[in-house]
Amino acid sequence: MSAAERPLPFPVRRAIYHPEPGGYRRLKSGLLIGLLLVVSALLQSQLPSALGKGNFRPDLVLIAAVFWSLRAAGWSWVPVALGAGVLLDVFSASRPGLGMIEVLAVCALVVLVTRPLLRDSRRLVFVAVAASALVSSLIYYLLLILFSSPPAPAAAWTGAIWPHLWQTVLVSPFWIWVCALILDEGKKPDRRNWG
Amino acid sequence: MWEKRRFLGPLAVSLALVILLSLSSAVSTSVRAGLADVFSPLQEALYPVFAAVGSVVTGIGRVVQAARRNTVLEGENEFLLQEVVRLREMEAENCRLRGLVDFQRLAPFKMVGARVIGREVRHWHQSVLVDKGSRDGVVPGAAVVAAAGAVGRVVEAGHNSARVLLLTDPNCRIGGLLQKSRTPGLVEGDGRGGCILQYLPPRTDVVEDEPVVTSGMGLAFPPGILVGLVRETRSEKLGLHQSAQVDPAVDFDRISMVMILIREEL
Repeated sequence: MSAAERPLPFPVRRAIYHPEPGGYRRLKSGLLIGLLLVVSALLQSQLPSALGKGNFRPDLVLIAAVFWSLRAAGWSWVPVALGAGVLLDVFSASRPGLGMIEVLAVCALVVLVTRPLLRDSRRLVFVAVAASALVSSLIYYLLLILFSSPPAPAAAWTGAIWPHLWQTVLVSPFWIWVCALILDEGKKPDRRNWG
Repeated sequence: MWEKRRFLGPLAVSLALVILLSLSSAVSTSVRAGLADVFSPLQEALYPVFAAVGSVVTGIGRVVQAARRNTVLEGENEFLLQEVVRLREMEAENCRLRGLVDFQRLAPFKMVGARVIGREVRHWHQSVLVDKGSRDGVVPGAAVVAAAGAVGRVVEAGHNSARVLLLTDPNCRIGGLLQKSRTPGLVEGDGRGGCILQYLPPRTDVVEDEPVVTSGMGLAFPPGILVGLVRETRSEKLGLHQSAQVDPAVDFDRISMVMILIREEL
C-alpha cells in the first residue's frame, strides 16, 4: 500500500459533514448550546450542595464553551463565549464583565491555536479543556490585577487556580461526553477513511 | 458580502466590551442582579433536590462519626447546662442594670429569614445566593448571620434574590474583637475557607481557641456575634501589628438557612 493510499491515523474533518448551517439548523444548534450553558451554570452552582463540599466547583460552563468553540463553524463561537461569560458573571460575586472577557479570550485562543482538521478528536478536546482551565484562571487573575483587588500569587494558586484546574479536568471526560451527546446529535462519525 | 460579514463578529465583540466597560459599576451590578432574579426560581426549585442528594452522601459518613462523638457531647452537655444557668443569672442582672442606667438599644435590626438557593461558581470568590431580595427589604451592606455565628454581608440585592459575600472571601471585611482581651481588629477572609483577624497590637496576648466576636463598629453587624475561634497567630512584617488565623464558627459548606439583619436606618 502506497503512502497516498494509507489511511490517516486521525479522524479527518470533511466539509460534507460540516456544511454551513442553514436557518433551522442554526436555530436548533443555537438553542441547544444555550440550553447546555444554562444547565451547566445551574449544575455548577448546585454541585457543592449535592456533594457537601463547598469548594468543589468544576467549570462546566467553560467545558461547554470550549467544546462548542472547537466544533462551531465561522464566528459562531463568539456569541457562545459571550453567553458563557455572562452566565459565569451572573452566578458569581465577581465584578460584572470579567467573566465575559475571560471566556471570550480563552475561546479565541482555542480557535486560534488548534488545527481545524484535528478538532473532531476527543483527545484534543480534552487537552484543550485542560489547557483552558489553566489559561482562564491566569487571564482572570490578570483581570483582577487590572480591575479589582487580586489575592497574593501563592494564595491565588492554592485557593483558586489549582482547584479550578484539577476539578475541571476531573469532570471534563464526563461533561465532554454530555456535550457531544447533545450537540453532535444525529451526527454519525464516518469511519471510511479510518482504515 | 462575505468580506463584510467577516468583520461583524469582532465588531460586535468590541462594541459589547466597550459598552460593558463604560457602564458604571452600579448599572452593571443592577443588570446582573436582574439576571440573577431570572434564574433564581430555577435555582430555588433545584436546590432542595441537590441538597437532599448531598445530605444522603454526607449522612453516610456522619453516622459512623456520630456514635463516637455522642459520648463526648454528653459530657459537654452537662457542663453547658451549668453554664446556661450561670448566664441566665447574668442576663437577669444585666436587665436590672440596663433599667438603672436607662439604656437604649442603639441599633435595632429588622430580621429576615432566608434560604440558600445557590452557591458561587468560581473559586476566586466565596458567596451564596439567598431567596430574599429587595421585595423583602434586603439591601446591600446588610449583615447575614446563622445559628452558629456571623456569615457575611449582602453585596447585591435583586427583587427576589440577593448575593451574600461570605466571611471567607478576601473582599469581605468586618470589625471583630477578641472576646477575652476585648482587643479590636479587622476580620477578613483568606479565600481558602478561613478568616484572618488583622491589625492586632503587637503585644496582645492571643490564646489558641479564643473566641472572636463582631465588634459592632462597622454598624452593619450588632456586637457580640461569634465569628470563630483563633487557630494561630503570626507577626506581620516590621512587627507593627500581628494577625490571628480564625476558624469560622459557621460551616459554610453546609449552610442552608440564614438570617439577614437590616438596620432600620439603612
